[in-house]
Amino acid sequence: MSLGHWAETGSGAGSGGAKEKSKLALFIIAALLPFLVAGSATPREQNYLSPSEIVVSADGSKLYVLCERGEMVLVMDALSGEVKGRVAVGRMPRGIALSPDGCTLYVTNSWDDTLSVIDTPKLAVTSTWPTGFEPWGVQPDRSGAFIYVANRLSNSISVINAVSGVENRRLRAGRGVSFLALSADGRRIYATHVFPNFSTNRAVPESEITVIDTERQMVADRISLRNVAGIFHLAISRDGNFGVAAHLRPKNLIPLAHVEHGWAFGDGFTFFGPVIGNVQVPIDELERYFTMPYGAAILPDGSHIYLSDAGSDTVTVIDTPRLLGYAKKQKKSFANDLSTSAHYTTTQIEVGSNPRGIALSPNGSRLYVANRLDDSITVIDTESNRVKATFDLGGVRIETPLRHGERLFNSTRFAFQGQFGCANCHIDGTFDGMTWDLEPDGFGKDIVDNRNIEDLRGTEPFKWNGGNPDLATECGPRTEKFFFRSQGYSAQELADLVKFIESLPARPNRYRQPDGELTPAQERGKAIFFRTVDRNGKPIPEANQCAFCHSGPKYTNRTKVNVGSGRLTDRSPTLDVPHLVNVWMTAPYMHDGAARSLEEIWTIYNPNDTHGVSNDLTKDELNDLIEYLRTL
Amino acid sequence: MKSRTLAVLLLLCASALAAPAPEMPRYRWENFTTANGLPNNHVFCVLVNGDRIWAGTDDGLAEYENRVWRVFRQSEGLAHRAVLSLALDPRSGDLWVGTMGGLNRLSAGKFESFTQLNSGLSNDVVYGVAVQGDFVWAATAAGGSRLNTRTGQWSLFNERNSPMHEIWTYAVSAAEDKVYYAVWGGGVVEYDVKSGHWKDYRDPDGENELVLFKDQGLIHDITTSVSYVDKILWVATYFGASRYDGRNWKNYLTKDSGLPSNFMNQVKAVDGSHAWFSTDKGLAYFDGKNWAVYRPALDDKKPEMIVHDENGETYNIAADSAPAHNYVLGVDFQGIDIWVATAKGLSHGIRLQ
Amino acid sequence: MHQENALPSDVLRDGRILFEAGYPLGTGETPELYTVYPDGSGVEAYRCDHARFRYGGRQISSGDIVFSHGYSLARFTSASAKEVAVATPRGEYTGDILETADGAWLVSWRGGSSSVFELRLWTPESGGLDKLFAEAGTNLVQPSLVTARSTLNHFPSGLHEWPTANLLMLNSYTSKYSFAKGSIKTVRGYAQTADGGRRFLGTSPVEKDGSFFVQVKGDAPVQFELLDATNRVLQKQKGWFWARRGEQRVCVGCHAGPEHSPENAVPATLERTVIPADFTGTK
Repeated sequence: MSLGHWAETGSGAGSGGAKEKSKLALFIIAALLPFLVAGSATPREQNYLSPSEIVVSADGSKLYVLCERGEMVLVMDALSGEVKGRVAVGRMPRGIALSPDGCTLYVTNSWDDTLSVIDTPKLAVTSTWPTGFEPWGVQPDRSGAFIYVANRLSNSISVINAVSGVENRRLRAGRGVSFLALSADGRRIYATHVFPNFSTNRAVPESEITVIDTERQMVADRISLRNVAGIFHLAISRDGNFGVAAHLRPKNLIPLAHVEHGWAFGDGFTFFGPVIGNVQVPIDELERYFTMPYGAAILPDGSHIYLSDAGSDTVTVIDTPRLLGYAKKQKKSFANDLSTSAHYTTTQIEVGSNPRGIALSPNGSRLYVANRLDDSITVIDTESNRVKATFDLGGVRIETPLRHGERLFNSTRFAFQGQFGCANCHIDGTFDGMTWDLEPDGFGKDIVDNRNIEDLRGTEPFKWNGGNPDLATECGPRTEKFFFRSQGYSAQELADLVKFIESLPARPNRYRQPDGELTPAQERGKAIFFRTVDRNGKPIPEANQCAFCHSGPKYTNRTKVNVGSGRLTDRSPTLDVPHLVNVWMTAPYMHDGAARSLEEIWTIYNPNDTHGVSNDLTKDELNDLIEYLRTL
Repeated sequence: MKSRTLAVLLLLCASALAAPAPEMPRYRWENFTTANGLPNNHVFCVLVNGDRIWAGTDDGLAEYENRVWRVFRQSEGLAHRAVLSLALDPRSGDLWVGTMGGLNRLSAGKFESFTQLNSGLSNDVVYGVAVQGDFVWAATAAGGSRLNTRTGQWSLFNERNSPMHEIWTYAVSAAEDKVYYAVWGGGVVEYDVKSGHWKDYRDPDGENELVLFKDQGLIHDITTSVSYVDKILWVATYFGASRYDGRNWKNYLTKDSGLPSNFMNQVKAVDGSHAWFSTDKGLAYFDGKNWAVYRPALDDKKPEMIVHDENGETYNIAADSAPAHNYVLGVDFQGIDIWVATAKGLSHGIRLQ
Repeated sequence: MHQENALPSDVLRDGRILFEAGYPLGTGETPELYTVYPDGSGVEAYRCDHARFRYGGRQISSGDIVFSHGYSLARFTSASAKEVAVATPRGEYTGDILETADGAWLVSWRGGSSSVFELRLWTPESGGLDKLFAEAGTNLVQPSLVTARSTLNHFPSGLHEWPTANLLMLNSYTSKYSFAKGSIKTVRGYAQTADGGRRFLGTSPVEKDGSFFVQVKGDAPVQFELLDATNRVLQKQKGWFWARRGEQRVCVGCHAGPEHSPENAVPATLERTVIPADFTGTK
């Protein structure tokens, strides 16, 4: 079967007529049929399971499958795929790990900021422990005495006592730390992160692999990854000689004038360890891209490396000795060379939609792949590198518009040569922490900060200059012309994609009190936000009051305003008032990402009080304002 | 003949009756300057972390390990070349660095910078820093700042929300139950961790330099350093030192103690009874009764160790070496050894007995 | 092949038009394969391993481009920057190579100049050319399969409503040619005159990172040369290329090869100015 990722032939523009209408009618009937038959209401989206991670039991007989949307763990027979049990966990579970003795399963509930502790024989949650903000990866140490949890929105790793559930210490990691892996000898835990580390505006993105000494429970090293932003799963070889971390190499600093030649994103992994040092390895080809590398696994003998490609719906298989042989001969980096992957890639295997977590059977004979948007597990025979079986997890069979939209969002097949998709820049439906130079406004002009896309409904218009009146315009012809540079979405696809994006809810705000009350500092900050006179009693013009522009449930009055933040390279200083939902987590700020923190919006970039009156504030008052902004 | 014998007998008796010098720690001093790896001889602070020594100098942060120096400057991410204070987070191993241009966290080789522009830090001049659980406390030229390292939230303490009437905070010392600030010109302020309440301690003599009420309170309002260990607060000022046990104050001046000077840059307690004082005229050690001073002599710069016992007797102890300079800015301990920051280099006191 | 001919040979699945023209483009006569977007922008050689004649490129189901050297066949494959030889019998090949539904290649071939061209089928397994159809005394030269094509329905154009085009070079040192570090100081641009000669358009500094930014007239042949500090020509473009009216094009390097994806860094020329040097020739 071809591994081409060419855009599908859609209904396309201008191809209407009777044939099209009947197609649409069929679609509607097919979509509604189960409900017409069952007499029930619209299928709930939560009936989709969305398996995202897999853990295999030590004896290889069981799979523990984390179902993100289903908010549960399924226990499956690893040979037959039969579901043997299930246990409900918390909201938006993202990480799963087994204790060394196999008796306990740990699941991070990323929206509850908790860790579920599950007794595996009984399949029951025995404890729920607090973690940092948005816990993702979880990894017990070798003894099982401590559990490490990567807190994506705290940029830190919790070290939790496995008996008491008390957090022993917190370790600083990369921005958006999300994934963990334990070395075979247990001496080290490695961590990766999805947003580049904080830096200066328009600097080369810098990321790291955080290396933790598990004996001292401290960070021992940070392996620097230059020009990498978005690192996902990692795996360590059983002999401890090397590790791999799946990652993206976005090209945010050059004008996004093309897509060809790997222009927008490079896909690959970092091969690290004492064998050949740290090498960035591309997996793309000149005309084909194996996109959004996410899951990582290494055969027990180290001979092959597996990566799930979440955007191209494939698994890439790398021959380790050939990779080493090739890499050792290179005098300089080959990270940007699209012709090298042939030297070490064995094959790509087509799997299901949005493959994420992968896991090997203990003897390495089988690779299990969680197809998040197909509700299935692909089983690959690693000897032949062929699909041996597909386990259907059950759940809703039909594709709802939202599900369809989510698949479109995560697929990279629409961009030219299938190079990237929405999820590349909007990681897990959020943002990427970077600024970009888009082409149509001119090279080097109108540098724009990438925006978080949760809770967008009712915040039109879009684009920093407010030029797009709705999401259909934002994601339709404009995206096709200036981002994908290829045939984009059909009308139906666009409608479903927009529906999905509009459905993305705001994640829980971590700075609001559970009872909804504000702290004294937040109250003081709120008063400043809503003030109408300055500290000397002088009235502030209405248009310059914070709450005038940042009004409404999402803190935007949806107008275009000049707040004096325009740069010489901007075509116009007039900007669409951004919404402020969860603004605390989306640094950098301002239209061009110039402000590295909320404070800098006023300490550096408001010298003339054109973006609200702030220069009369004391430092503690500004701190209070920031405290209030954190609650939005 | 008789008078001579009598004189000898009297001398013998006198020497038999004279008490020996109290046993005080003795050191061999190894000094580091720019000649042997230090980036700058003005050393503001020193911190020991096992086998690793950190020195905050006027030109960068220096790290000494396995007899090798490594220097961090702004090019590596240090906020400012002048490093004024250091604190270690024992749980994470992170080093917090107070500079003239902001606060740094140094974690496994990576710097993170907090300034008054990019964060809630109240002022870039960070004279003091301390770690208390999940919180990092900074003493700045414009009040105290506290960072919650888990949530990233800042709190600011100044005259508006604490008893500080001066906000030039010069040092901070933190423990699980209390946090103390030395406020230059404003005495000492105490933060109770449990209640969140502040309290201040001022010189009962007011702003004059006389000591009218000895041991009735803080010796002077121009405080430069606080050290809170084992529930005992030690305070260094420009005009003497104080010790407070929660009820009673005890003050120390040159005239009634072995302090070589009333002008102190730092006090660092070992425990409730023992403390080290960094003065402008030498390094002083107090064991609860006796004093020892280590310095190059003020006149001829020769190594000098002076012991002052509780009865006021003074002894000159033979010394082959001395700290690099008598202007001492701070100390830290490495087991039974001591490291000393001076105006002309860093000194390692290797304990002899 | 005449230097002005351009023969479209296929529409690729990614929407690009594959065409045959002389190498160097605009001046040479060695047939080579090029691509261009449907709106005429982005013209470039399909691969940069220019060597022998390349005729009649067609895309097969694997995505590979198969073509003829005249006496043998070869292919381009996505994983490789260079062509890959195909073990087919020598002879003379003409016309397009088409892939049948079961993966065989349909070619027009003759053993020698005294024979006629016949339609033959080739598969990797057989290694040989099985005769499909021949007609005595008749050359069968251009087979055409009646088959569904999976290609795009439309291809968006991002061209602006400008008479000019902007060209940005990211790093002229990224090249198949070798330049000493720091040697490239200036770029010179030329337009083509009616008689095929050159008309000087202007010069622009080349930054330390090898970047430069110029504006040219759209829909007109343009040529560049790189000079050192003494104005000695380090490398001169052999052929011509064009940019469409309203096109904004960025090059990874000078003849870098399509296998080089760009290094992510703000081009120094854009840090200096966002106004391109005027190579439109209108001043």
